[in-house]
Amino acid sequence: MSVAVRLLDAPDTGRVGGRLRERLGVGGIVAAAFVLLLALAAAFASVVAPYAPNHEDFLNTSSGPSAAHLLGTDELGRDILSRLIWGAQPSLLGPLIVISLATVIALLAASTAVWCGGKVDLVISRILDFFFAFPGLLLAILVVALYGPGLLQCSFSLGIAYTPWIARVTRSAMLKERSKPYIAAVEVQGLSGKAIALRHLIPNVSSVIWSQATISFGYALIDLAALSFLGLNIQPPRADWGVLVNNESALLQGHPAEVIYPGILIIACVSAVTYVGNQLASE
Amino acid sequence: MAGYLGRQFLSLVVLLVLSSFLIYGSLFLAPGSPDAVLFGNHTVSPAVRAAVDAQYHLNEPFLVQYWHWATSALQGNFGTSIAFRTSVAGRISAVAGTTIFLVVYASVLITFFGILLGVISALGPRKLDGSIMVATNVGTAVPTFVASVILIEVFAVKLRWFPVIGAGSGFFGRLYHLTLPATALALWAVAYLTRVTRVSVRDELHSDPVMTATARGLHPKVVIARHVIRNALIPIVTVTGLQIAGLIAGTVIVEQAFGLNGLGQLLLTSVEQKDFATVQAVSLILVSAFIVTNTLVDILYTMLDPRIRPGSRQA
Repeated sequence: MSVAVRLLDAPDTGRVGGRLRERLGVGGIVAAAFVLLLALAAAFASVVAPYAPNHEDFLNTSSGPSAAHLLGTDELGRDILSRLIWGAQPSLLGPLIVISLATVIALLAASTAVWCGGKVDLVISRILDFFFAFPGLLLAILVVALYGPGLLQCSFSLGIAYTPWIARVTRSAMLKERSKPYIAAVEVQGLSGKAIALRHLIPNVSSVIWSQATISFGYALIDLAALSFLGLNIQPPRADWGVLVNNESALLQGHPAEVIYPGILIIACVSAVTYVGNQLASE
Repeated sequence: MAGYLGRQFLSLVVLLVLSSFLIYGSLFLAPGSPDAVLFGNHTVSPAVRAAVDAQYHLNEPFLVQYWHWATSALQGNFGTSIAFRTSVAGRISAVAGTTIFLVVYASVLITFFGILLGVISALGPRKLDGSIMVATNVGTAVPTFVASVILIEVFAVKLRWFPVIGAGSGFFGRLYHLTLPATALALWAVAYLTRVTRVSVRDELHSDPVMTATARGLHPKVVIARHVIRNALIPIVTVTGLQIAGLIAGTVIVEQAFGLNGLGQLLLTSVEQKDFATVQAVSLILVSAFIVTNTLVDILYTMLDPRIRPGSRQA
């Protein structure tokens, strides 16, 4: 997270607000607002959600929408809307852990590779290549096999698996930046490599990093929900959106709504995040 | 070319060795002794314990153990599943067919529909292009497991066209049973490939050789077949190959959603049962398949595009 704070502190903060609005466009702002709204609902679930996530209304099982339960209830009489809102917590927190971890490692790796160049660059690039060759989902399954299921295990393995994606893009953007004359100028002035990376290289490629991290957030959300769907991430009765989709008996008993809602929520959230990420990347 | 292939082969071997090392070494990163991990929560007799210790060479240095494991894996011997008291290789070969069928089926769907829709989108009427683009936009945002659930609800539960679970037997039985799973697996990649095909065909339409050919008065059909499609194929083949490699991890999700008894399902039940010997074996097979496919795509890409000089490695 410290890197993210650092990026917000970049010298041109004054212009960032205006440029950000310009970049995002109307669609981007709507999409970002939607995701923000979901995040707020997740953060204040205890206030927003009408019921506790595991509150069972025995008289109202598998009911359709009503005044008491806006989206109806599941087979145990739990309020579907409340479970969606509470489920947003792990669904959004997980991807945040993934991209924070991946971005920090990627920044360290990319700036070291670009600054040192030569053999160091080659070694770092080869290590990144190796992790490219290891599918994130399989890495997470291997880690769960060793350490048991859970959000932290899954998020950490995906964080490692996502690092090369962010690092590769960051590295090539930094390489371009490194060859610019002003870097040579501050280098001549005797600024240390670390200081140049922190003050010049990273802030100046920040839009690439932000956009890559945002797009990765969407993919991480899908992968973590998939891991929950496989029973390796969040464990029932706790639920994230992936757990809620994993309910084949609801389909077979003719209550598809409780499975379709979380599915739609995932699709909408990922579409919104990806759109914002692409807008951030556009010049 | 021989030098290029040699280098590709070398890097393939290095990647395979490294990933097998990671998969085997993870046994020693786990909390508790390798013994505890291998046996999970199964109680075993001293005789079995001694047999497993001997099989894994647990009393020898780590590298020796790895060497024994890797060389017997190369010969198709993955040891004995402690949970099921059967050979791991036997369990794998019993279910691998379903997974292979599923991946091949999905690959055919991706290649056929991805390229077809992309070409229609690029060359067809504007309205059709618009609706295909909307569909692919939605398609690339739908995760595989959500697609599986929607397909089950619509085509298996509501319309009853396809069975809800099971892999079927015989070629046509399998084809029928695996249609929904393969569609779920292919959906994302079809949407993605359609977009890539559309863009690369569009780009080629305005390229110099195509304009020259058109100016020479060649029939549009000839121009499209000889110049547009052929040149557009390079990015298309690459993306298709990478998507197919990506399917390998996706099979785990689809097999779980449709209750198919394949490698992915075997991996998941082994994780659940703490049957680590099987977890290692299936992980190794899936990761190797992924790495080999990726390397083949790399080689194919170089062969298709004469502009890429084998030997100049771009970082």
